Amino acid sequence: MSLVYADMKLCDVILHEPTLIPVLNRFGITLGIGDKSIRSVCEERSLDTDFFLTILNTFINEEFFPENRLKTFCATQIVDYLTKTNVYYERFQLPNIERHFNSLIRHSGTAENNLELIYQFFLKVKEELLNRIEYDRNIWFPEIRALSDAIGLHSTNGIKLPTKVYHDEPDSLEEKLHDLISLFVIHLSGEEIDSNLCYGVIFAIYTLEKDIKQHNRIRNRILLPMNEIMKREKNDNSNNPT
Amino acid sequence: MLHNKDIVIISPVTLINIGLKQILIDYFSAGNITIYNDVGYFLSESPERYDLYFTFPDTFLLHYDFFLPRKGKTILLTDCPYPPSDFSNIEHQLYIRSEQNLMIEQLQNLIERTCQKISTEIPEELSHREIEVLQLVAQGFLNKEIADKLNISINTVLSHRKNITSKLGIKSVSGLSFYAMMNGYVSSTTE
Repeated sequence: MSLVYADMKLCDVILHEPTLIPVLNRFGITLGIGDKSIRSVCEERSLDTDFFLTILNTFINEEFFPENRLKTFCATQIVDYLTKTNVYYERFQLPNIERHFNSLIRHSGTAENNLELIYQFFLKVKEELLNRIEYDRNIWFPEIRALSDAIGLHSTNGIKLPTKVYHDEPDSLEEKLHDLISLFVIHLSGEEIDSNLCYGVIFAIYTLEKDIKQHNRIRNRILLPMNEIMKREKNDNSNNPT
Repeated sequence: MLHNKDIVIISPVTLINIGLKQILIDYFSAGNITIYNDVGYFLSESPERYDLYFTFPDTFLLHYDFFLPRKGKTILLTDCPYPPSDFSNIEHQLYIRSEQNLMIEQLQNLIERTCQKISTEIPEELSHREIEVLQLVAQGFLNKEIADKLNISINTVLSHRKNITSKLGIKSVSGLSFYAMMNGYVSSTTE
């Protein structure tokens, strides 16, 4: 779909792209939104319209990633958003996949199949994601907030970030989630496996994969370089006290 | 048709790049397309790994040494309907001013000719060597270590790994380990 703009009605956007509903929840917007424009919804809730639109647009269009604009937002705003995505993975998406998985295993015949092994792989990926969330919550995000307090909001704005191309880390979570889907689609074996329940699991994994892809782009290409700059800036400040 | 091919477009004209990329995705289900606006940058980052190259004749000429050995995998984006004399020996040329349907047809022909050979070469089953590499990957060995153990070069290991991934659809090390376990290539007690 085309890019979303402030004068569009939020309901039209959601009707066209229902996968945005969890993203809206992260901004405190729940269903029953009426037919207001995006601008007025944001004003009512004192949301930064620019930031809101940028997040929606990067979520809808995989190709669209306005790096320069994203870098103008302040680090704490981005940390807040990523924190909410983490909470969503932890409280909703992971349990959701697990629920579907358990029901699939329960309803599949006891005949030789490799569902249990695929489930083991899922548990491994889940553990990795939970560890990362824990690290974000206890170490990385507080560190960024502290840096941001130390150097003040003004100086993080308009910082010239390096234009180096950030490659996505190899062997990342999104790759593993993709492999998990491949295991189902290409390598599933055994009899009496309910296809519909399989689809439920796959779709749940696919939704998480899509979300994490967006999260990782913001994380690796925006927040990480911002964090580097802030560290350098803080060092400069402490070396030359004014 | 192009879903497991690595394709690269090397051209400074952003609109052409976007258009070509979109056509390759829409009509040929191309998966991995990389765009380089800057040929120098392209050459500095493992340029030999692609299955199909799109570029302009002047870039081709300037980097003759690189492109000539790959002319069978290169499609030239030409600005005139008949091959210019310098390029009459390069058979894969796409006229960038063709009308849309004609262009799709031309591309179909070109892609069939350039990619057919590659796709028939790969059998579906893992080869004996690939299974060996897979077992070592699953046991946590790095590419360098695998090369030493099997007495092959690291590039050969990389190409085995690429083939394994395209046959199995699995990329991550832990995914490959689980696959190896599922199929009894390694014992599951190592976890």
